[in-house]
Amino acid sequence: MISVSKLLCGLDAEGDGLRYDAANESDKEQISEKKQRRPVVVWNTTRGCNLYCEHCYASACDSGADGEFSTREGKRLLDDLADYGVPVVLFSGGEPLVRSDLVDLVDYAADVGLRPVLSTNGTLITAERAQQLADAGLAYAGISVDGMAETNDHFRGQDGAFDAAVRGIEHCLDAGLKTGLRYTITQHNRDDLRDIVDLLADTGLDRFCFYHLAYGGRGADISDTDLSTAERREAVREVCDLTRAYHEDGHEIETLLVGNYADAGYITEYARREMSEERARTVRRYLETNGGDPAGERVADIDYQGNVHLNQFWQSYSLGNVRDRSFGAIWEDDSNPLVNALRSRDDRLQGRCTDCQYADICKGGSPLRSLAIHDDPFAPDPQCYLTPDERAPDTGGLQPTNAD
Amino acid sequence: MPVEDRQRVSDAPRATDGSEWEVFVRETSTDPMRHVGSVTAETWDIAYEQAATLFSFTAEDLWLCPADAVHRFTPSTLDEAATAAGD
Repeated sequence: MISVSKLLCGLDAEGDGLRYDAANESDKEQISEKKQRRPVVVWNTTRGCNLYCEHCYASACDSGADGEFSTREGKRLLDDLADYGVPVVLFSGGEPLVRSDLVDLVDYAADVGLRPVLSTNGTLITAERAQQLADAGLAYAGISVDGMAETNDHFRGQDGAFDAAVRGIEHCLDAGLKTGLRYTITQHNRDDLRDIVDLLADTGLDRFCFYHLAYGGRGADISDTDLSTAERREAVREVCDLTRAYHEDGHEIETLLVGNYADAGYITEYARREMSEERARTVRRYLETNGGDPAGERVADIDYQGNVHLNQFWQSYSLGNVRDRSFGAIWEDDSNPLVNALRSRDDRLQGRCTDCQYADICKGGSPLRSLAIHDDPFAPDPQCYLTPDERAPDTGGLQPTNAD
Repeated sequence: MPVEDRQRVSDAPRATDGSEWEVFVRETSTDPMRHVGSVTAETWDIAYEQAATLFSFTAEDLWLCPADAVHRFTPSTLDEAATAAGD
């Protein structure tokens, strides 16, 4: 995740320590005082979902899957994650709220020292359920809305899904839950981006996460709706512009870009062009700490059957299963050559990445998209949208700060 | 480790869209065959394609085995449906 509001507007946030090793600079209570040493774990608690979204990476459907974890197994898993020192567990799905024991699991996660957060379509969040989740210790609810009403409902396969999600957001805010929007940008909804921020900011929402399309699960089937290079530049610019406009008006929204580390280079260039050389240097310094695409390093996924994945979108390959051995043992198994290669991917970058001045803060982007398009996880990310002038170090772009 | 300290992991499915295939690679001819995880695929040839795209950069030999043909015995106690190793 790249925090646009932090990088361009200096907004303090709970994730500054975790993401940028900048806890000391923040007045907000931090998720972690130090940059994370253990991955954030996404747990797909069920395959079941009440919607059928076009881009679902988990290929969720209307029923759960055989082999899903019981409540007792779920608690054992949470113990395992806590013992290993995982900082955050993200309850996901499918739709996690179709599990009747979700509040119990969130409560347990908080009790064993994990920070429980939630990824949901929001449509099943009643006022009562929101309050129960808040009381259980839920630290954050990320609610997916992918456009204004007509766009969102088409994308999510159900009329009324937009209104239900907005009600869910309002219930979470009323319960005092920190709540944010999750928005996957495609050709279908790019024109709604500003309207959705304006609408939800009016309801009191102040955190907006914009995802680039991941080519995993059903997301791989709709890659033809992905943004073109020009559209992506325009969309990311719009996120930067609207973040600054909100802050200039005194409305300190938090905005983040997720899933494409070409954003790191773009935002640095944006800061230089639109703000100042000094701001660009600050942005770059934070991004050097952040570390590029997190697959296999700062994020992990455990699916509803216990398979461990390199991130939540990369469900077709598993490192092992937590019914066989602990998550920490699987994650730290240094005999896996693919994991080792991903963790030292700077040495394996190819093509346009080899002479890119932002390779150290991007690390080639998404290995899953590269795999989907080029059959090679170390090939350049097909979503890279930096221009040759932005990438090449000898044409006036910014150099790494450690070379200053 | 004494036999009784392990339990047999249940036969719960490992995949819903297709089957799970355990992947083994040997990096040079003198290396041992090594388990490197699993891929999800309908058939062995698709599983092979998937595994090959992930591991060809390092693997000389590549083996696949249907995950449901592997009986797993472990001291881990997470699996609620696990049975005693001797059952």
